[in-house]
Amino acid sequence: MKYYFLTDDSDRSLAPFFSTRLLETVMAGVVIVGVFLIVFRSRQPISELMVSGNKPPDFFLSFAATLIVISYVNLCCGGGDLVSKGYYIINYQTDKPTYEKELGFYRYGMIEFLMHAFLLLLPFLPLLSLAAFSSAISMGTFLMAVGVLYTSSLFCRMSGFLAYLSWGRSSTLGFFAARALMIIFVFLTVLFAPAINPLHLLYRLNQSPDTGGYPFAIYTAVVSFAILILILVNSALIRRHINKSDRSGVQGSKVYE
Amino acid sequence: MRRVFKHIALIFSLIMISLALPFNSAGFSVDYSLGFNGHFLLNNWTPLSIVIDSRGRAVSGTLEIIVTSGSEYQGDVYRTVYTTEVDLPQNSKKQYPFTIILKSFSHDLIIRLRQKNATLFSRSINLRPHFTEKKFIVVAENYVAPDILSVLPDQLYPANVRPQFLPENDYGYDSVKLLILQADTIRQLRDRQFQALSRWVEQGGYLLLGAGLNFGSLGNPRLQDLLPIRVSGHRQLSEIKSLGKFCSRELTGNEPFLVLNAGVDDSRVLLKEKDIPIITRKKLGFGHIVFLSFDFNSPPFSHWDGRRLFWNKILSLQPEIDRPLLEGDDQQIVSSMFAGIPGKFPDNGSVVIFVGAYLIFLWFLLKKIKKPGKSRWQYSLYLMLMIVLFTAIGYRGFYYPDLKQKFTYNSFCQIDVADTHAPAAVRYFIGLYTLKNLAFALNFKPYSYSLSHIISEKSPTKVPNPYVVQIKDGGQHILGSLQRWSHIFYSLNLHLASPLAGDARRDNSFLTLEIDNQLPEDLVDCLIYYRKRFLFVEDILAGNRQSIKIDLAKLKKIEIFSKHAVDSIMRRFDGNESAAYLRETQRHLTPDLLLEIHEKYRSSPDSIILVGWMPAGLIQPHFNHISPPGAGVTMINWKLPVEIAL
Repeated sequence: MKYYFLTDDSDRSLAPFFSTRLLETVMAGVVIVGVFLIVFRSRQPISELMVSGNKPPDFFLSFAATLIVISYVNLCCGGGDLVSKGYYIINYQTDKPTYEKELGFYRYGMIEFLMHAFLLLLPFLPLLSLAAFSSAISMGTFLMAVGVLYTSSLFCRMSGFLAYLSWGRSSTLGFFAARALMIIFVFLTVLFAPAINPLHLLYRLNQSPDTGGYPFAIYTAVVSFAILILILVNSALIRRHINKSDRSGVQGSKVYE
Repeated sequence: MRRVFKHIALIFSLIMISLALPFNSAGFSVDYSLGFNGHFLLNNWTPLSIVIDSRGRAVSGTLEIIVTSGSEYQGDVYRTVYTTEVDLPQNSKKQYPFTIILKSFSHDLIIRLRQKNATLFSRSINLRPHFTEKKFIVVAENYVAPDILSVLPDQLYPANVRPQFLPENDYGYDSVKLLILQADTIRQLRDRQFQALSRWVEQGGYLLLGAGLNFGSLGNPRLQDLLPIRVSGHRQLSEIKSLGKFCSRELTGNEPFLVLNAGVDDSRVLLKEKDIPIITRKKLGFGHIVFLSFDFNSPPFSHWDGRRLFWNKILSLQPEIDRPLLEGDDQQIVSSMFAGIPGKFPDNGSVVIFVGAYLIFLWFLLKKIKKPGKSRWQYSLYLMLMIVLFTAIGYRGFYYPDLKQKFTYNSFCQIDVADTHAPAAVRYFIGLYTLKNLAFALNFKPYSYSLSHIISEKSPTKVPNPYVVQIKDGGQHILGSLQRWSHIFYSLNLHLASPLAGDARRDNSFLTLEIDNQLPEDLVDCLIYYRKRFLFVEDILAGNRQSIKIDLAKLKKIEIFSKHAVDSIMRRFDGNESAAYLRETQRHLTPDLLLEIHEKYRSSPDSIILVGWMPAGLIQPHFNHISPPGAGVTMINWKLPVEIAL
């Protein structure tokens, strides 16, 4: 098991954990969600909400903002768009091979993605907990909503990585294809498959958390299956790349063994 | 041989089936008695008796009475379901009494007997032919003179009711103006019917008792409780000339008739004939009982042409009752309860501080983590700890104190004491608030009360969350369900023994109040209204007899109450350290209360009005399986006559 993502800040890693750009992006994301929480939180007293029969929107709005931010950050991480600027300017066009591409996916890339998607979510947790608990959302529903964020992040991460493997880091087609996939998943599925739309599920959890278990199970099953497919495809593409490299003898996994 | 045997077996089977069928179909019968002789007054509580006769088989299940109210046009149609459990062995008969309120005649009343999911019996009753717009004058006798109903006052709806169908709750007499009984009928009533009857009279009911022909029943303990009659004997009269003075028509007859010679303790004789009291009136609580010393069902009275005049005169003798003392608006009370909901959101200031502090710490730690080196790992650990810390603060600091209790309630109780020897009128409101989907069961043992829901005028919905009123031996239980972030208000009307006793005396210098407070807690923020002025007095301690002396010279120096004085009185409330819910209720209700008192009693110089607050609920709600936190406030209003001792 290699831990280059923890120790190497260079552009040989798609999303080095401690890279300046990545940490700045995370900070910006948390600030966005924090501002969103303060600006859009319900200012009506409980009595008025009860009279009108409405529920406070804090939980849904904060989680929706976090979902969009975190999904996009993970998409960029998967596509290799968040390496440090200095390396980017010098080396971007060269599309230098990365550890994620050169090492077996199950041994490196997948573990890194699972761990990194989780770690990227952690800085948002205090704000999410404030939004959820001040709306009287139970711990169970809160964990379900965090689960939605995590699976969505992972899906976007895998999608971004698929685009990177298919078209490379500098491809305009890959850039737009990855973002189109994210837009379809996060927004457009509400039109034709609301059961797997994360925003729709978060809204349902806000409106009726007691009945959210079943929709959450459907969503998790479908998205987990999609992630599994992406893992298999990504793994196959990496294996093909490693085999091709071995045959040509240019660069390959041996370099890092 | 085999064929013959088959035929015999077939015939035997058919015979057995044909014998079994009647037993099955005989089943049971359900009969009902609605209102008073099948009639009811809209928006008034009405008795409904269901009699189930299980002749053919044992019957068990749930008896449901479904009352539909509201209008389709207004979009506020809702159902109120009253239920009771039925468990009858074979060949038995039982009466199930309900007291229901009918607010619309355009929807059928449904009587249904259900066993699990199967409906054993269902009947819809078209209410249109049954409603009346007049109050009732009820003659509760099994046998009455044929034309008695036709000579009763026109302004009331006359009804003859079998005594067994009289209400079992005091509020079942809601629509009754005058109840006419023979003394002997009191003996026949079931215990609950008798208790309901005596409570109704105490609360202001008007009962006429005829001596009847069975004088032996006059010694019945129940009757003696109600009307302590001392019988001296009976006399034969052939006429009652004194009725001429009473109702402008003398009673004369060809044959002599029996008149009871009896006196009633603490009563007033309204009519005498040859020194025999003919009509006697006794005050009981706020109500009155009129006793006739003869049988109104027998000649010559039953043939007398002055009966209409007589009954009109009897009806006119009922004094008006000034109840309630103060009538707070239901919607205003509901608003004050809303404002006092126990839970609250975290305030904006603390949220901004929380988010700001977190962002600053996060920025600082990420800045440190960016720098390569061993300290990066140390700061990463600090970052994790900070995330855990702030998440815990979000949970413990903002959620636990205010919103963890997802089901809460608050209550408001208004007690009107007009006479310490009469029951106090109580209006009780309870609001249930939930942040989660919830099913609840609620009761208010051991009180007897009429129950209705209240929809806040600010609410976009016009129908209440569904609920069922379950009638049990121990009283009424409310079974309901609430959706997340919703509420429901119930209002109870009942009567209790007065919790305050005492008197007020005045001499040239001082006004002295002697008060015995039997409430479970002290009365605080007490205000008195006397001679158009409001004055704060000391707290009245619970379980104490307390004397409050007011210097009249000082009282005179206080400005006569006007709208402008409301603010200064309210400031006194704001300054005290009472519980938040009490303060909120006082803030909402006191201004209108002061104005109402001034408006209503400014011209009563010989009365004093005391208004006191108890920072707790007098009536405790009992929830099944759950014990939600709640708050209660009780307001007591007491009108005392001031005795002058110069």
